[in-house]
Amino acid sequence: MSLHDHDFRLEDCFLSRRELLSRMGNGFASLGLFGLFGEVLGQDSSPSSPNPLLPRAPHFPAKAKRVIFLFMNGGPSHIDTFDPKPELNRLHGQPIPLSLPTERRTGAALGSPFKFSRHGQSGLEVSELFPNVARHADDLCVIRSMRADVPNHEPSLLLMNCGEARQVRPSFGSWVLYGLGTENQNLPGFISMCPGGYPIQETQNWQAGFLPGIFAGTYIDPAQTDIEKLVENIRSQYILSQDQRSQLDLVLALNRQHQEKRAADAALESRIQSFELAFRMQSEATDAFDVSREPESVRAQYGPGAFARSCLVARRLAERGVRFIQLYHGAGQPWDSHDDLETSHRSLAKESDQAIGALLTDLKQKGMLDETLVIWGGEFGRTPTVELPTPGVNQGRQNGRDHNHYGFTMWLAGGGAKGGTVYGATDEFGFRAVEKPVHVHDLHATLLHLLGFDHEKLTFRHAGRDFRLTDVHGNVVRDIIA
Amino acid sequence: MTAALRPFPLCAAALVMLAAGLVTPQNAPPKAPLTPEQITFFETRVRPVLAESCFSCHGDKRQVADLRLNTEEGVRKGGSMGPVVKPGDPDGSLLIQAIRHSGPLKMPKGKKLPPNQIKDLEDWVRMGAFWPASPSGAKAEKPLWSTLPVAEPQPPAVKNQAWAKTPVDRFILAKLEEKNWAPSPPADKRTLIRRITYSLTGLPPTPEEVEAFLADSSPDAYEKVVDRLLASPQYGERWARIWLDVARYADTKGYVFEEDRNFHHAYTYRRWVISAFNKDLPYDDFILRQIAADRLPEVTEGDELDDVAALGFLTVGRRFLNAQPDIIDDRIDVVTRGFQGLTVSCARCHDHKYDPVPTQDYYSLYGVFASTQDVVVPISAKSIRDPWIAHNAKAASLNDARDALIRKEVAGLRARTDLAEPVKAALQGLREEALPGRDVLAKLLPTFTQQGRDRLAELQKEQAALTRSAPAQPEFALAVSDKPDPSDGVVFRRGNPGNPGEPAPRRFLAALSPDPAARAHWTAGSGRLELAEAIASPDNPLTARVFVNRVWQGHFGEGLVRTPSDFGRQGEPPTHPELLDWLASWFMDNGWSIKKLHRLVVTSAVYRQASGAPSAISSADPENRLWARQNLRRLDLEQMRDSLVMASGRLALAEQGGRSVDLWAPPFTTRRAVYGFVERQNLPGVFRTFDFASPDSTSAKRFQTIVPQQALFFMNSPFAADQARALAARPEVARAAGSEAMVKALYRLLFNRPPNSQEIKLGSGFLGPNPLAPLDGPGRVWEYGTGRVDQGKVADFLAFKETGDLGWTPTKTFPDPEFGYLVLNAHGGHPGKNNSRAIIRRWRAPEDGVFAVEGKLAHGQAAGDGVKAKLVSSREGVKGDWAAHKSEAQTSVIGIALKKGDTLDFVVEPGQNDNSDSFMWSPTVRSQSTGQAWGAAGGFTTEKAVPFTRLAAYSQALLMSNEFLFID
Repeated sequence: MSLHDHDFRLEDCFLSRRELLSRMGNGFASLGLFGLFGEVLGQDSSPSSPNPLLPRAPHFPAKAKRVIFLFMNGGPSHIDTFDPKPELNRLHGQPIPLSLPTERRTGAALGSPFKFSRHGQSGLEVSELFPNVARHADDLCVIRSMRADVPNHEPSLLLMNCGEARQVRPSFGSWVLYGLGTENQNLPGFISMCPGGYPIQETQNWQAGFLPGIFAGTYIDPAQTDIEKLVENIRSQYILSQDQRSQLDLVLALNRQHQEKRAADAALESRIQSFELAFRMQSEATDAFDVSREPESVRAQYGPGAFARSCLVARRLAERGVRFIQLYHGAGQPWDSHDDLETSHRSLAKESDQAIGALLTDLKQKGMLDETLVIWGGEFGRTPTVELPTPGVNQGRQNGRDHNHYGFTMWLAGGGAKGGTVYGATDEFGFRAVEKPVHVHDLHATLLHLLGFDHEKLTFRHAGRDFRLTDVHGNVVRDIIA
Repeated sequence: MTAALRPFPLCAAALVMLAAGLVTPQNAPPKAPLTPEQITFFETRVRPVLAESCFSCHGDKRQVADLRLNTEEGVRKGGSMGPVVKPGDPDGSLLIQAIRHSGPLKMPKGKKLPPNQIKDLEDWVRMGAFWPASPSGAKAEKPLWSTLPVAEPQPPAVKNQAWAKTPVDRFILAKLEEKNWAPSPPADKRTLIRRITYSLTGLPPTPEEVEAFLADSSPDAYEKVVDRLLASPQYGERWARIWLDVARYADTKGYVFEEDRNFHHAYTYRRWVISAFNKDLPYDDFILRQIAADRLPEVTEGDELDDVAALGFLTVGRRFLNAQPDIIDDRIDVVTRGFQGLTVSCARCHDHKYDPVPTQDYYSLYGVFASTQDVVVPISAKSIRDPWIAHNAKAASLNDARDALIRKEVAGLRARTDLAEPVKAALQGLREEALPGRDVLAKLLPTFTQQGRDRLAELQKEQAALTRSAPAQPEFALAVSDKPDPSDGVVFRRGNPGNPGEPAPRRFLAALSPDPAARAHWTAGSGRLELAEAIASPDNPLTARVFVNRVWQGHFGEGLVRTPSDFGRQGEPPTHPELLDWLASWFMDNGWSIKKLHRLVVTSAVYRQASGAPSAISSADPENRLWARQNLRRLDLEQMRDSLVMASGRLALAEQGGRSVDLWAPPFTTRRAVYGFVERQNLPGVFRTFDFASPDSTSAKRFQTIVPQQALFFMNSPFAADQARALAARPEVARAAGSEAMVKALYRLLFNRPPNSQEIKLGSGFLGPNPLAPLDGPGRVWEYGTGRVDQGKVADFLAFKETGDLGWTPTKTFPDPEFGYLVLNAHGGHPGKNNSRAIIRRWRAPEDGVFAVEGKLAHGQAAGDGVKAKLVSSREGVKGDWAAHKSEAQTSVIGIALKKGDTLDFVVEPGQNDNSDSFMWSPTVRSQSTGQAWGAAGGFTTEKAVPFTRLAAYSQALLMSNEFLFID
């Protein structure tokens, strides 16, 4: 039974609770949501609650229940990580017979300074930059034929995150939260972490667009360690917990009296419940973000640094039922190696490889990987040709790569993605996706599919149109689904 | 067509067009009635093939390449590659070439049709590509209701004439009577005055206002309240905010790369909107000014040019990194959805799929806005703006001269090969077109020509002189003006500026023009004035309907049309079409007076009904589409925030206008929320939590969610606590005699009613015998002060009392004659003159436990003798000892056992002297038992600690109640 079989629009959940009441007889009852609502809110709660974060079933059963998106902002080089190109190395220093315009001028072939080797049963090729990730080769589904539209950060980040390069549209995470709600009402359902500040385009990367604001990602700076700085209003500076409890008991008593004198109204009941949820959120959130509660051995596996801590936080959040977790490598665009690619990629990989490896191990050990869709990648890849000096835009050294939206790599793990697989291919130099190209829209369609949605039916009516993440595009890549 | 010579695939489209014989005119197929044989042939051999193999990409849902093959019109029109069928000529038809795979275009994607199907389609084209009429075609021809002229219906007859106070009521009552339903009884007076005060001003009534209304038994007591509220300046502030949702108002541009992201002058637009509502500017003028104030002589010929600020309606949208097509799209959208309730932007890439808006109409408006430019213009009185304009012209010419000189010199340097490494590096760091900033310029300057350096010095001297003589700055408007060379544009096929199509003359929308074929072509100026006039015309079918509906929504929570910015087929039809029309024509007949319209709506019996309807009616009409009751509503963000500040007794109603202020940073502003700064790029969480209208595009209606983050705001935010504390400190509360009197005073202030006995019992019980005693709060774990270390203990600790931008200081004076440079902030500070005036960051253990300290002490100056730091436990004495002098020290200590209330002091002494003793030290204390951490930076606040009393906690509880947050 799917959500859309009854001429029922998901947005009705909170757009018009009155309308919803009238549909209780068909849509909601048949969705089996009574149980869920009861479980979350207590038995006397009304199913027409205007809390849009309550869990919902997708269009069809799916393996992936949650997402951890490791966003390597700046654009990691695919040909130095997951897409080996021996031909490029052979031509190092010579022109290649293919010239595509990118953001800046590029010149001759720049071979990869990194060695690739085969890993796992699948023999998946991974460069020396990611030895720990490589141990999970048989869980990785590497898409080597990704493509986007333009070689610039801003539009490409928005395309990857929101499915549209310039206009204001809801982010992928907010669509997922809109579609599925979240399992743990005591934590935000969509959390975006970026150590040390914002990526470029800032909070637009996790915006709700025209969806209700509550579906926007909650931003966390994992470089902070104080819970007050991590989650807004999570702790009172004024009143002890036991006094707050008696305060809330008083509020409850007053609200019950108020409610008795009025006609039944879901909003009144929801507000009453919201204080109970909030009270619990205080302790639950404090706990979730505090990695010091992990055993020393676990912290050691993830390694040092803010990114590593974020990975560990991500696992703690996933464990607690947060629906969508996005984790940027760092503020700005760390992977943007226009110069000194070898040293910068080496140190970026060092900052992340151990933690990502540990995250995958950890999820697997806890039996969560099957239900957790892990996504790794940036907004685009990098050119196989060397970037030439341009005043004001690089250091003038000829040892880096420009942006490349014609072909790049992303990988998925868990959540119903087919492990140990390589899908699609770039040309012999790694410049352009030539075999089974996967546009960002196709990726979105596929990810939504893994989460149980028909991407053409997860829609929201706004400004006269039913909008969706993939707009008028997107084909599900069935071959990468396990 | 030389492009066709380029190799495939760069210009595949051109090749295809050539092959397809694009020059062939579109021949309409002969319209002779089809024979039954033809229909059978079509329905069994043609339509099924098209449906099976083509419709998924070229059908109702998608039109790849703008091509639609499931309608006769679509087949005839063709797609972005031109016509696809040439009736009678299969070989010359692109469709046939594509299915034969004989040209570069091979269809359907990924397969070839079997030969018999190809032959059927060839035969069909050869026979004239006929298309039988489809019964479903009729639907689209029915005109859209909202584009029909506004009718002037008579209010219907009703049985219960006593109930119907106004004609509005008769429309509502007639429908109820059809169902044999009765409307709800009128709301009681207390409810009514609270409702109407929120409705018109966004604020609750004061206790005095309520009491006066209760005491007034005259028959027009209510009408007097309505008139008082409409005349108050708070009315304009409330209704301006409702309009600012439509106008997607914000104080910033959205994401920008390097430029300043603020709209520094957006506030003048907001001020204009507030004043327009307050002076009851007729709605037609309200429209004209917001679209074309710069073209109205009555506006531009005044001494003050305040009305020019109205153009902010067009300009305060997101800037999309200055991408013109997107900026223009945003303006088309705000104008058409905002004033016309028509989603014209849907026609950017293709004809509107549901409403009568062809793409050409979109580009007609596009031409208007493409012929318009953004200008920032001074709007203050002539006596202020004229001297400034003259001054500014001089400054600009000096600047230009300086920039040109520097560019020339930089270009000269780039040509040289003999430059020193640092100069070369500085040049490499500078974009070709960029002007060097101060630092880079300093590096380059010595290599400039002597002549260039001399001239530069002269120019700088002149600039400095000019700056000294600068006149007062006027206020500005984010305005627009017509470009000197306005012109028509063309359709961008599929929204792509690189794919121009048919011309799009600047003119009004066909659907809203009485005679679309005779539309005027706007050629004088951009066409904005003509556009504004066409919208503000009494003949426009949508303008008045859309606005009266917004007003209805403002008073009932829902409109008669529940999609207030979409009166198209995807929107909802009105619940009471006759009432909507009656209101629209009444509104126009009454001089487009918004205040009169409000008065009409809120004095109706419909508005005055109670909100809790009998359950039979609420279950039969759960959405209240028949309006047999009022709607219960949650306060919106601004109502909620202003009500909290008003409860504290501090709402600054007299401060109107002015620049935007940060609403959420302490010390909290007491201005109304409408003056809050809106950062559209990174909207603070509280805006999203309470369903603020997204400022990214025009917004028709706020969501009304209820989520735990809202509860956390009431429970824990410094803002809510501050208001609760101030409420408890109001003299009428704090000085009331005994807890029962306090409860009564609070109920009067917050709920305008006496508490019942149960409420008194609950309240008194909570307050206990000592309501003014401070609660044992978690208190401040961090304190800031000075003192000295004596025999392993901290002695003479003196807590700082003053705060400011620098942090905490002992007195208001800095540096203080007695205390020197003593200061402490989140990251570090400066010790006093000698070791008895050490600076101390004190942490007080909130629980028993074993704690660890981490952190880094850093000192950066070579001068002086550096600083000495100590960690002192009140229980066990000195636990750590470090020094730093242009160096860093790790300050890690573990295993510090403390009891609740013990202190850990982070002491920094100046050493022998206090010269250059600024330091950084922002330690974290962590419980080794629970893992909980307290960071000095995270816990830092310059807010002065004020004890939270039981009375404050009780006041806060009342502010959290549903009675406070909902309007009956």
